[in-house]
Amino acid sequence: MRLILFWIFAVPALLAALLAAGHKRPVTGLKALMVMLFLDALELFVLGAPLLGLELMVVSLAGAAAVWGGVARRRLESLGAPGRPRYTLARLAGLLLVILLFHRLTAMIPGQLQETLLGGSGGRAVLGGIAAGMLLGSCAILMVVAFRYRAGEEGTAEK
Amino acid sequence: MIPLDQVLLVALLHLLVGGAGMLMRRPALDVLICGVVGAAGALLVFAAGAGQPGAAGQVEGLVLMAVLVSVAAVGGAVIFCFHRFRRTVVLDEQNRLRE
Repeated sequence: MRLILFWIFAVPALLAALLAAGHKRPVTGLKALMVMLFLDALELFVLGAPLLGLELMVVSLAGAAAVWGGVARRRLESLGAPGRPRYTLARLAGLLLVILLFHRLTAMIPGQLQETLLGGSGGRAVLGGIAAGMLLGSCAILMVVAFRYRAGEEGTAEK
Repeated sequence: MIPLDQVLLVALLHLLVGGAGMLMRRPALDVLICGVVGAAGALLVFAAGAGQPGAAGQVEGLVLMAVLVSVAAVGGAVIFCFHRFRRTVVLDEQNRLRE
């Protein structure tokens, strides 16, 4: 059953990888990359590595939010598309599904963490968590600084 | 239990797709995307080895993934900053860095 589940996630992930690597529009490639990372996160859950899977899932969702906020929304604004938010039933159902999936997946974490900490690698786990947190925090600051300014004229950046 | 060779096959396919994209595509953002695709294969290998005795575990994978995300973020920020002043960055025109 796990093997079937693994291939159910692996085949679309490979197709998304092909799309990410081969599409001529970079925005479409970025979207395909986020889909591929999300499917890879599900594969990691199936492989029995929920810590890695959860981290990759958070990374893919953050990337999707960044792509949406930084590229797609700005493009819609520049096109003058009507911006009134619409909370349709499908969106609410999708949000509910994401919350349920997140809750189900995070329920696997405590047992895994306990096993890692009690298995003699507690110090390594803490150090690895600190290192990963520092790296992700520093690159989050970098992304905020890099994307905060809008392009000015003749090479000058302005707020 | 998932056989290790099947996980390695998927990881190898990720690496092949990413490597081929890095060799064939010229826009810098596409090359960065292909690099992330290839590196995602390494994460699969880490996850497959997490349950094996003597193999690197999830902690090493966590750090590896954080490094991967940081490199991708820094690369994306550099490309974005170049793109802000010039148009799409193409790797064949890397001599612009000397200007």
